[in-house]
Amino acid sequence: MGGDMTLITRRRMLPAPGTVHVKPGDRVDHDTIIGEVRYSFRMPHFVNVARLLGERRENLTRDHFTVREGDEVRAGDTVARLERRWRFMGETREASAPVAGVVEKVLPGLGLLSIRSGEAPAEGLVSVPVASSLRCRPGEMVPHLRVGPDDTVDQGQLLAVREDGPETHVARSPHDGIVDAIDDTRGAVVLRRRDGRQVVRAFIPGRVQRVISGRGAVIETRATVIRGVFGAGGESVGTLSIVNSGILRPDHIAEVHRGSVIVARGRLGLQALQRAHEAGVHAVVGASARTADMVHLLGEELGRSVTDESLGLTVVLTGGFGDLEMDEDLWDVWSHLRGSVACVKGETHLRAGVIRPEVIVPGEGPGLGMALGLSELFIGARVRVLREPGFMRRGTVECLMSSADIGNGIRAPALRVRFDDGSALVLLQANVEVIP
Amino acid sequence: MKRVLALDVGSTTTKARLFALQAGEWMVLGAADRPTTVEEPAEDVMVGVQAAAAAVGRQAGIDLGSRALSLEGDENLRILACSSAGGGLRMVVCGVVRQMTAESAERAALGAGAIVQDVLTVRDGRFPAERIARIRSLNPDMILLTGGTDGGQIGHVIALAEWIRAADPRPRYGDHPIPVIYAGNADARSFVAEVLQDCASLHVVDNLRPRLEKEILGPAREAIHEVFMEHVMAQAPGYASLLALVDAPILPTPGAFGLLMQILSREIEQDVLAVDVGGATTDCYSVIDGELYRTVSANLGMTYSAPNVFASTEPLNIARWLPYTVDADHIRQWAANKMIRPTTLPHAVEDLQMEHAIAREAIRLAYAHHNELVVGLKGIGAGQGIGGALSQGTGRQRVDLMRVRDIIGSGGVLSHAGRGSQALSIMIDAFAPEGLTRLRVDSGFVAPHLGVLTQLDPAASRRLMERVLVDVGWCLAPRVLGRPPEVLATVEVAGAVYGCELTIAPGEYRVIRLESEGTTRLVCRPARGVDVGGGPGRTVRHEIPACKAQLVLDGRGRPLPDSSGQSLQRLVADTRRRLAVHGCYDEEMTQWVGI
Repeated sequence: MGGDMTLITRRRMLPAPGTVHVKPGDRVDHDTIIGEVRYSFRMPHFVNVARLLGERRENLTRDHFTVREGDEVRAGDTVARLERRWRFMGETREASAPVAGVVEKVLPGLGLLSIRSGEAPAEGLVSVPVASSLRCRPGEMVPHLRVGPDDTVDQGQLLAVREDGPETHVARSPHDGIVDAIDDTRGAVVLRRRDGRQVVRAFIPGRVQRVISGRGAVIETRATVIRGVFGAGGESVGTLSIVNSGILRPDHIAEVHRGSVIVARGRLGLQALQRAHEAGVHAVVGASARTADMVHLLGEELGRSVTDESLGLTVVLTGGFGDLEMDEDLWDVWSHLRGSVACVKGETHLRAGVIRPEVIVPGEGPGLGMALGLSELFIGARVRVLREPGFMRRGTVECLMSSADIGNGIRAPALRVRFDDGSALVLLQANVEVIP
Repeated sequence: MKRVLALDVGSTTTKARLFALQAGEWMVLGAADRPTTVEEPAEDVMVGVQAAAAAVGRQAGIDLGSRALSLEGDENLRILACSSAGGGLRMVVCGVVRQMTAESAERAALGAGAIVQDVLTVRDGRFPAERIARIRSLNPDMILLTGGTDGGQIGHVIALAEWIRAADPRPRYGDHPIPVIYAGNADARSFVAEVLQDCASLHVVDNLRPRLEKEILGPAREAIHEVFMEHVMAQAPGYASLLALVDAPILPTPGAFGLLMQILSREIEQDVLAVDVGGATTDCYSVIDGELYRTVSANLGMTYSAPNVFASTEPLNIARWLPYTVDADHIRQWAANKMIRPTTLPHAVEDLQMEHAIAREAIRLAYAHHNELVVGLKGIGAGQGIGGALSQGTGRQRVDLMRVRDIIGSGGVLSHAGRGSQALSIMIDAFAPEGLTRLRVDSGFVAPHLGVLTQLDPAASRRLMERVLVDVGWCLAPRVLGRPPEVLATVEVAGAVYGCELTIAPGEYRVIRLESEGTTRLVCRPARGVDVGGGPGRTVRHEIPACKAQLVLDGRGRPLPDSSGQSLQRLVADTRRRLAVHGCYDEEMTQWVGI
């Protein structure tokens, strides 16, 4: 992966149609609100009045209905009445409202009435049973929490993680909200649901290139973009700090890193990531991490090949899983960017419409751009090995073969690579990438 | 018609296959793959189509350049296509109750070849704003809206329609309203139309669940195909030109694959099972009594979904297929690196064995998922209230492996397996077939092409299928009813030149290389209480056509031991012995005896 200094654009879209607050040409900062969505919903209830009155629907007229469109009704209120009179006796049948709400439609020809429910289900306090998700007693819940009172949480965000031998138990937020209280008597986190308002911010500082009516905006800025291979933890912004060491350890992280983006050259250790979270670091970027550590951090297996949840810390890997170090070239880019403001997006979608994590460092830089997009293999090309044997080693292509049997039955295009230490290997072409 | 150019426009590759009728026989004249060009920079699918067609034409020595692919082109050339470009047909399914209308709708969408991105129901635990945001973020190609039996409740389906309206999703291609197929309560049609009038292109078909005990998927499936063709594909860059060229509707690729499986089942008059193992998803198909069932295990696959295979099973269930000792973290790390670098291939033998172990589990889990879904209708219970109906478990499983005579494998790990014995071993361990089963792979990725060809000439598809599906072997696996006897069955194998008589003991796994010329006759005499396909204790005779493949006598019993079983140690030891000595599946062969 590499860095590319260029004019970039990013679409910032609302999750549903709403109001866009910016206009083309506006300057925005990373926390400028681009737009917002407000939505509340009332459930429609259709009352089959004809059936309730025992009358054919074509015989019903508006006079049989005792309510009109716009009327408020309570559950049980009469909404239609049918009176039958014979010579010596009579009968009255009534249909009542199943729910409280507002009469929306009166449809005599269809024998129907619709009531829009009066309850708004999307608001109020919600108790999330965290202790039961963690499989612990209510009184044991608090040490495992990752959120505190008044914290804002997103749907899917980890509320708590508990290690239990080889198993990891987690509790996630069922929806967006604000932590209202920690109830350690019942073992629950009480969330106050947001009022249905969701805002979208610019994320990168720049200029509004265009507005997508009611849906969002496109922001453009000149920036260096460094893409990773795997990331998690949503979006964060902070000042870049560099840690030039092998494995990132807890003692590398100090109070001065609060709110910053740390870039480490080697593997990100779990304890260091936990320390970073506690210290209020916004994001950590490194060459690699152990899979088990990422699973612990995410609170789940890397099963969906999609990470879009908020963790309270954004993590980006530029190399892969295991014990790896960053390339010299990439490290030089980071070193030049030290002290700049970085916008880190940890989202990863490894499916159709691939999304890789990225670090965007806005501003005119000192010519740090790297020529990407050179992917054709040729004799003499510098390559990096992506899989064993020779994982992450670098060398030069000596020979290209259209097809070779490498001994396990697979016949595929291959090449011979001479490594920097003088040794050579025949590898599958699919297992190398060209270094620009 | 003398020649047929069949195209499968995939997400990344456009695969062209040229078939021709020569001297009364259908032949494959050429096969060429070129990158799909629906995305930038070309943004015209015809660029990739023409490149692939030209390449396949060069192989056959005929001109299939741009002139042949024009409207006035070659009158002896028929052009057919299926497509999964842009990730295939992406659908969101909405129904009122998950286990009833929503489940039927999901079946209809899957059967039509769609990728079901999400199933939204009235009580799926989400709040309306979350559902709306979800519809919006998924960006589906179309939505299947169902709900309610005819004459039943209307409000819920209107709520679903209102959420769609609020989300106002826009299709990926073009600027037309999103297609919504409504297959719900007939009484709600006018209300649904009113709600969606400004934001969707509504297509109304018969309710797919008109009554609780009745499911009619045909009209919804046909509508999905029609809308896919006219409203989705027609909008994709360059597809208008392709649509004008083709001689039959463009089908979603999995739909074409399914059509071929139905033809195969009709041909052999037996049930058929098939699997397509992809990087992200694994599709399972079964044709039971002529009816096609398809399920998509959206999170089981060999690359993007490899970590989820690990997460969905016990590590020991993967490790049992490896001839070396590994810990769980090693498997997890392997899967994670495969996920982030999906285009890499296994090089070292240990790497290949790990890939095959993951494949076994991916297929096994996908097949288990298939069996969970391909069941009798749920929600039907005589004399039960709605609560009782909903609390029912799954209906009766429809796939009976003893009745499945053919299993077809597709997808890179099977189709591109270095040796047929590797694919055979993976499929036997994953499906655990019973009785006598023929196992084949679609090594040239031709099944979707033959599927679209069925639209023009089903007979041609049948003939070509026998040529292009490659035999990797046969499996004879006795089903033991009760306590296993010392010898499960005796098997006489008589080829044109050689023959032998063998026994199958419990736990045994024997491999015989079949003769590549002439028919091999098989007589299997099971012990009492053992079934090899003819019923308990009944002798089965069968003729195996000439093929360069193996016959496996599998006495390991069913189900195969897994992490929960007692006899796992024996299976692991046996696997290690087989794979340690014969790392790449050059299985030890039972010696033939001259006759």
